[in-house]
Amino acid sequence: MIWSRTLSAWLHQLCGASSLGPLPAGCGRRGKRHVFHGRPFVENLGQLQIGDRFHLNSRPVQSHLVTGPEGVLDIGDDVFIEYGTGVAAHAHVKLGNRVRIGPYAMILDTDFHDLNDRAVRPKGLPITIGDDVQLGAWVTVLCGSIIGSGARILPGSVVRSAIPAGVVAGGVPARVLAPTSDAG
Amino acid sequence: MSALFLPRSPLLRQVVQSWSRDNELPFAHRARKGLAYLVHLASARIFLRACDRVGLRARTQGRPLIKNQGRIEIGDDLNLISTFVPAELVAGPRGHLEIGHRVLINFGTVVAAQNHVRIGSNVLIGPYSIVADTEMPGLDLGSLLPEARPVVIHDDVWLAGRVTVLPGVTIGPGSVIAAGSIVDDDIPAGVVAGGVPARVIRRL
Repeated sequence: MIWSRTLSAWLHQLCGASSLGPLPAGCGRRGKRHVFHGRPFVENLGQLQIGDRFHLNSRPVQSHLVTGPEGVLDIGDDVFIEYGTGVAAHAHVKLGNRVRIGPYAMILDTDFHDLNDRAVRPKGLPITIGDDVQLGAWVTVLCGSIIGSGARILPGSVVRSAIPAGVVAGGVPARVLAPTSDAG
Repeated sequence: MSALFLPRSPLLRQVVQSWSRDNELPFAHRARKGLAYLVHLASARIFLRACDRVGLRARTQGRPLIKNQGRIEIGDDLNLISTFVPAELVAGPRGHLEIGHRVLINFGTVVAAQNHVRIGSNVLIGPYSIVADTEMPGLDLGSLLPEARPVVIHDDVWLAGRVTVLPGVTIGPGSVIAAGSIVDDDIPAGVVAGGVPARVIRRL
C-alpha cells in the first residue's frame, strides 16, 4: 500500500540518511553536473569525494553509498552507477574515471563481521577500481580487491583478489577469462 | 562505556553492547540508532503480525514481505532488514518455517518453506540470499508445486551475501559460507565453504 511504503521510506530517512538531499553537506569534493534518478541513500560518516558528471540511478531500487567513521569513498569523473547498487567504504574505496557499474552491484571493503567472533567489526581492506572499468550486473567486489584499468567484470561475479588491467574476468571467485577486453 | 558490564535484561544488554561497539560513531549518530531501535521494535509488531509466533524484541527495518499460508515461528531477537529491497518470509500451505533466536536476515533475502525450513540460533544471513526448500521460492503454483526437500541451517552459521541454499541441504553449526556461493550439498560443521557449487575451503 502507498501509505506503508511512504511511512517506511520516511522511517528509513529518519533512522539512517544524514540529510534530505542526495548528497550530504559533509562531502569533501562534490563535483559538477551530477545526475540522480530517484533518491539514493547516502550516509557519510567519513569522507566522500565525488568527481564531475556523476550519474547515480536509484529507480526502481534505491542505491546506497555509505562511509564508515574512518572510511574514504573517492569517486572519479564520469562514473555511472546503476540502480540497486551498494557501496560501503569503511576503509578506502576508489572508483576511477569513466567506471560503469551495473544494477545490484555490491562494493564492500569490509566483511562487517570477523570470522571467529561475529560481534567484532574488522577494519576492512582498501578497494581500488581503475579507470574505464565495467562491472556487470550483480557483481560483488569484496575487501582487498584491485581491478586494473579497462577491465570488464562479467555479471554475477565475485571479485576478491587482484584483476589485471584490460582483461575480461568473471566467475565465483572471479578469474581472468580473456586476455584483452572487447572494444566498447 | 565498557562492555564488561552486561546487565541481566536482554534488552539492556543489547543496548550496552551496541553502544560500546559503536564507540567510534558520533554521539548524535548513536542516539539516532537508539531511537531507530525503538522504531524498529514497534514496526515489527505491525509487519510480522501474519506470523504464527514471534518471540521477544523482534525488529524490522523497512517493510518485509511476509506470505504465510502455513506456519511461521520466529524466536527472540530477530533482526529483519528490508531497507533497500524487501526481505521475504514465505510459508506455503503445507509449509513450516522455523527461525531461532538472535537471527539477522538482511535485505533482499528470500526464505521460503513449502515443506520445512529450519534456521537455528545466532545465524547471520547476508543480503540477497535464497534459502528455500523448493527450486521456485515465493511463487504460488497451486497444484504444480515442485518437489520440496527440507532445509536445515544449524546454529552459529554465517551466510555471507548472495548465498543460495538449494533444497535438501543441511549446513552444520558454526560454518561460514562465502559470498556468492550456491550450496547444493550438505556442509559439515565448523568449516568455511564457498564457490559455485559450494565446496569446503578450510576448517575454522
